[in-house]
Amino acid sequence: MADAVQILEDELGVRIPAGLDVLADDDLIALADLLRDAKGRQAQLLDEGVADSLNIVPRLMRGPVRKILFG
Amino acid sequence: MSLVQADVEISRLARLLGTGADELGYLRQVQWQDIRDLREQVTLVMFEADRQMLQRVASATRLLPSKLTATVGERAFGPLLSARVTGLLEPSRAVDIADRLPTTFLADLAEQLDPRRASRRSRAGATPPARRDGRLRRPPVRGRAEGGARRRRRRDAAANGLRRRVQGQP
Repeated sequence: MADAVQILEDELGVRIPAGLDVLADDDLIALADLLRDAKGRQAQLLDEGVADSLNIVPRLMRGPVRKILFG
Repeated sequence: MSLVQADVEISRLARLLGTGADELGYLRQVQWQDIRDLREQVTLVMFEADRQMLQRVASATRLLPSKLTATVGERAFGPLLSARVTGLLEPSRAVDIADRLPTTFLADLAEQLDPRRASRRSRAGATPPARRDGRLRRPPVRGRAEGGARRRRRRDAAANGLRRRVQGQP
């Protein structure tokens, strides 16, 4: 149980609500997996969105926009 | 009542996590207040993840006209990421961009907005609306393809709801 709680808390960055202690280890780990996957999907969507956005921005403006996005 | 509240919270959490409520059925054995607390923790994590890049995207939009920003949001980022970026924009700028987006896209975006920012703005005071009546500039599209008048009214209501939320109005 302690390991499963720790795995979920590592993903959340905070202690889980006390009432979740009724859940089985598998459920806690499933929640942690869902959260990790959601963060990964969001990061991937963002990478793809940034790349796609540069194709929509007019060529003249791409340089300044790219500089803000990537430094 | 608490079972209904639990189902509502499970649905909200499922949407945040990009999964179906059925996948989280095991949470029904947890008190709804604890599911709500978990959902708030997940909200925080998802809105803080990638914050640095999202902030850069929000900064880059200042270089672009609102119409072009709306096009980029709709075609490149989609409703989820556009909602994340919306939370980082000045409310007046967000409203100006929203006025140039299709209502269907706005309705999807509104579902993904950060509720914490909306409530903070609400406490801080409302920003003047872009238009006196606070409604869409764009008239509703006519035709069967749009799904009829009732559907258009629902979309417009969602869009105007978004406008109120980014302006911090109740």
